[in-house]
Amino acid sequence: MKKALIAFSALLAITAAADTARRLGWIDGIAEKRAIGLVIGSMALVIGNYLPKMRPLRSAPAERSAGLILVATGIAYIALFILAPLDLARRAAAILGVAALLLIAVQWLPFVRTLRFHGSQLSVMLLLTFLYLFVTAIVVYLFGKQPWTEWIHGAFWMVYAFMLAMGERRCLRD
Amino acid sequence: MSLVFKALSDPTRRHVLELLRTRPMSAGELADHFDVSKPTMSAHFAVLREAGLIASEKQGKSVVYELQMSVLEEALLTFARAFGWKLQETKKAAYR
Repeated sequence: MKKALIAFSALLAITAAADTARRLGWIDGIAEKRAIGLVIGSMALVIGNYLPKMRPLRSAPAERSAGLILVATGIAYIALFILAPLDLARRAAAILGVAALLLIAVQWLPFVRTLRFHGSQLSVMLLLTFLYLFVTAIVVYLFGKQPWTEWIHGAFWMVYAFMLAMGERRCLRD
Repeated sequence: MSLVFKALSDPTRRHVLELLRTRPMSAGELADHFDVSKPTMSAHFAVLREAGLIASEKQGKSVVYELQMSVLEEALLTFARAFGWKLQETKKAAYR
């Protein structure tokens, strides 16, 4: 769990570094976009790899298949953002991301009520943060930076607060 | 990571992980699949637990083990199993 958290924080730091490097003129916008795509892919790889250990659900098969889907998506993202032209990479990444999320959602739907918070709140937060970044990246790849994409921020923080409140309630009950 | 490699290097431990892939099992259920003493099985469970490949939970009087492997560790298990078989076959062929 600690390893996943450290890797995730390091990847967030790389994103911030890429943004700063672009602002300072050390790298161009294309390189920054490729770097962010690589970071999102690496995050999917890290989260997917550790997902079966995080145990957010009480179903090993669902966690294992979601882990595999995210790892495969992460590898595809990394390959796309290294090898493919940027426009193609962004479009393909968006389609792959939506497909991955839909596949995971279909498998996890029956287990949503059994989400475990007690003792694994950190892993739930890590998952939510990844989900937020992943969804934001997909939306930006699909529609570009639009004013309405700001709504995603609001929706994310509402879900985040709800999940935290649910977690607290469960902890109190336990 | 060396703990994971150590845990996967033994065929009995790999077999335990294969069994746990199907469903969580109690220590007794797992031990029934092997022709080894209980202390030896306990030692194997301890190595697997130390490597973080399995998790144990006490349910009544029995201890139930369940798989807790990352995707990379599962891939390593698949490789180890494949190479383990190959090594055993090579050894058998050499003895013949």
